[in-house]
Amino acid sequence: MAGNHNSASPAGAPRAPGLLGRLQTSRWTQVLVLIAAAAFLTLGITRGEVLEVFKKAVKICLECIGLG
Amino acid sequence: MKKTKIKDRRWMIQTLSALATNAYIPGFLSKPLSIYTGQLKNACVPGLNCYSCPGAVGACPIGGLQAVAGGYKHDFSFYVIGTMMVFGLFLGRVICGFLCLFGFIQDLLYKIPTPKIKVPHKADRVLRYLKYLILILVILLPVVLITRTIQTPAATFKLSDPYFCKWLCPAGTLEGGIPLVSSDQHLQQTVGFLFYWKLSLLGIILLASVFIHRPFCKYLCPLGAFYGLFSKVSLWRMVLDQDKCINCGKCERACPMNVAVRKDINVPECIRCGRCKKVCPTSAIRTVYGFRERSVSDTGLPKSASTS
Repeated sequence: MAGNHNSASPAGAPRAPGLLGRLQTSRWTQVLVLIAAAAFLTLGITRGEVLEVFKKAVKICLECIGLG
Repeated sequence: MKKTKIKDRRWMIQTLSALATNAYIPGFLSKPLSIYTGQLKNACVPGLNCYSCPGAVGACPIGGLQAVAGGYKHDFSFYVIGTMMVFGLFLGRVICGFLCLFGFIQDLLYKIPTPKIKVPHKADRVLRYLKYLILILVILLPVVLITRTIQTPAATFKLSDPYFCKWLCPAGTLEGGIPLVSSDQHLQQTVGFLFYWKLSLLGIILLASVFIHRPFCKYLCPLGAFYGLFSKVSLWRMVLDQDKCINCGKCERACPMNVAVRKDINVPECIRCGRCKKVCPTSAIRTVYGFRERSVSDTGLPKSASTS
């Protein structure tokens, strides 16, 4: 699942990644992140968060411009 | 010749991105200036781009995150975090290097020919954690630090300020505050301590950007911190081919973000500007895009990923 170093490393080159490193660089982690992102988006949209973002974004945000 | 083209391409993309995310021309032409109120503002743009900028066509993710968490309905925005996760996975900190307007402004300021300051390594290392602390505060503060409570017979509604936008964000002052306030007499009458605070902060950050490469991105930006978390899982990655590397260290000396390229190329600090790739005498550094293949690492080219 994880990556192997496929070449000899010169002096000062990185060591082989540990478990966390292998997890971070695995394809499954990428797929999991994609699934989680899709789940978050779906949940957020169904809870009506898009409208909340929209309402804030279409009015001049006084806090953002230093007046609020 | 080819190397110059690569450099120019990044500047071109940064310019086009700045124009695309601030393409609402009527906002700049009206008197006083106004902002876009169309449907595109349902969606977040990838970079730090204040939605109160007269030209902004999308919502700022950090602003949106705080708007939802600070409202009375929800404490956490799955929609904005989900959007940021998609951006993080598909692009990661490429957004900082290529698509963020405020990053672009800092890049331009750093081009001013002055003596440059290299932040001491220890201070630099400590300061870089600041942006993660700010990211945590961006998520937590609107939930725990309630500004107003509205009591009704049916329920109690708790509201809070967008603290990052209000007290720290220089993009809001530059892109929204200055143009809107300078064009509107009514807004000018409400200018007070907060405006001057934000103006001073913006001045300090812009001045620092002349001498230090992207100080806001390195030390303060919560959006960069979030995308940095995706550096290893992002589909857009850098690969250092150890077979070709002659260990000359030119990549590390050229890196404006002070990344120890030979130790680990895909660290959260890398904004994928491609300068290491440009200076590498043996073309050992490449960009890959795509899902990872089995039995590959960042020290060798994945079999099926496309390269540029």
